Amino acid sequence: MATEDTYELNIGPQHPSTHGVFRIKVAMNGETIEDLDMIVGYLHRSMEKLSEERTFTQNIPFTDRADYLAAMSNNLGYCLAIEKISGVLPPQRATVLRVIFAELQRIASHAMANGTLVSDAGAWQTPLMYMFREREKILDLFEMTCGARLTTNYMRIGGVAFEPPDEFYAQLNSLLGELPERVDEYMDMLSENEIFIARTKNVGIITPEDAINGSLSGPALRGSGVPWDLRKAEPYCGYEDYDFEIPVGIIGDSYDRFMVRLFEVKESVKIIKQALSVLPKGMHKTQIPLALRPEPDQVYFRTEGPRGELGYFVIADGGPAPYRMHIRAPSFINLSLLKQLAIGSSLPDAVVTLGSIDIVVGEIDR
Amino acid sequence: MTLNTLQLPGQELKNIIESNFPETINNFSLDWVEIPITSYLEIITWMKNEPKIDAAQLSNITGVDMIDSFEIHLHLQSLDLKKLYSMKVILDRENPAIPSLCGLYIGANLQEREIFDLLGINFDGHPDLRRIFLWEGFAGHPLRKDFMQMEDANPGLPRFPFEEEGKQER
Repeated sequence: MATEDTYELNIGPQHPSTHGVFRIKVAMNGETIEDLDMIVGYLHRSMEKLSEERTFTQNIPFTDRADYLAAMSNNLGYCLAIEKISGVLPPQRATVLRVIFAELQRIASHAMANGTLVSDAGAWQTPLMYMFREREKILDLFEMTCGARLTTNYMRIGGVAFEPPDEFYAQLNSLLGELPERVDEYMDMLSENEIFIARTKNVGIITPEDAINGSLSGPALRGSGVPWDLRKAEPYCGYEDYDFEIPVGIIGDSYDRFMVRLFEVKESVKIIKQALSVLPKGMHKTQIPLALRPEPDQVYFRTEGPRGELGYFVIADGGPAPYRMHIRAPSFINLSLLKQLAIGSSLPDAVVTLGSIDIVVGEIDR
Repeated sequence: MTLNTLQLPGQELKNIIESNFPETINNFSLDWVEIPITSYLEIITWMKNEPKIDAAQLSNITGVDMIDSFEIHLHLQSLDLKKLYSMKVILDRENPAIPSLCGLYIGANLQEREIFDLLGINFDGHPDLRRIFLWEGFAGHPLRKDFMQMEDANPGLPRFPFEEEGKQER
């Protein structure tokens, strides 16, 4: 890939700016990137193959480990897909609890994404630690509910695994009270910061046409001004009953994607408050057979994860395990435009662009 | 089963496609239509450009090993019309090959490389068809059902609870 005029530079697989074991090889002409090749697969665990010999329930923990920064959202997408193919209906209380946990996970994941983006842009560690403060409180809530912080394995086919403890609600309410203030604080700190603007404004501009054509989804798509959110477009878990907005960007640069995530945190807080006010009493889980055997059929179920359209394509053949399970991983597919965006830019800009797209390597490689 | 909210039922999708490509669809169900491989690229190109379908985004493309054939399942969507189209193509088991969609959708590039890597299906006209997750020289394609003769060994399946006792439910 290197020519006479260029030299080859290898970044990763172990480098802070690549957010995990993600490796890129670039051909540079002076300070300009002329070609880019991404090398993935360092974290490939063949989840799709492994899932073919485990029961539908046994596959839930795999989905945690796909996108390990959004385990709840992944659990939810998988469980909804299996519920759809097998006709299991979760109780209403479980559905509302799922919304609460999925939105908490979205806040935690966006805090991580924005924190690392600011860190990539040169604000070494301080904003990251600020945003980790909120993420930490959310992980505490997860821990008191299901015992795990990162790979939660909380959702079940037909409901959720545990009822949150009594002290959960008080702690959640105090967190919801302070989150909007925190978001305002970050906006004060960063949205008008000269250095941050210089590093992110007009960097990695994605046009709406390219975003759609490149199969982008989530904040990467909405940053380009396309108001596409599956919670609105194809509501699941009763999202049509909640009142919230879809923040969109204006020109589709890294700054817009950052701001979309910040505003989405505020919207998630609104959703959780509404969910808490309608949380009904009752069962948190329905009984399902230990070895669930759906009728032979196929399903493609999509949810809006923190990184975009998280789809589960499942084929059942009547047995206790899926015949085929495919994860439509938003982190992986959002990388479609990386090469095009990087060519012609400088290396520090490409790192910011990659950070603003927000990848999780566990989900890319699966 | 019920359809996804946005999904166009197979019967309607068949009617729309056959209004322009008469008698091409031989098989369809509630949620998918089967497209013949001979007119695959033609139909997808038409669907992308036709305003009343407007398949602007390739949501998902994946492959399945059906033992005597391969299937490519693809889901296209229109963000303006809020519609999801589900299709499948059946490929030969011996030399599976299908035209690449990279010329139409940038988003097809990585997904088709993934299918090539894990299932060994060739995409004709793909600009950069290399393995993506596994290294060059890896023997075989893991998502094939006969990978390492695993269909004979049937590992794991006897482990399932209650599998031996028939359809006994808890």
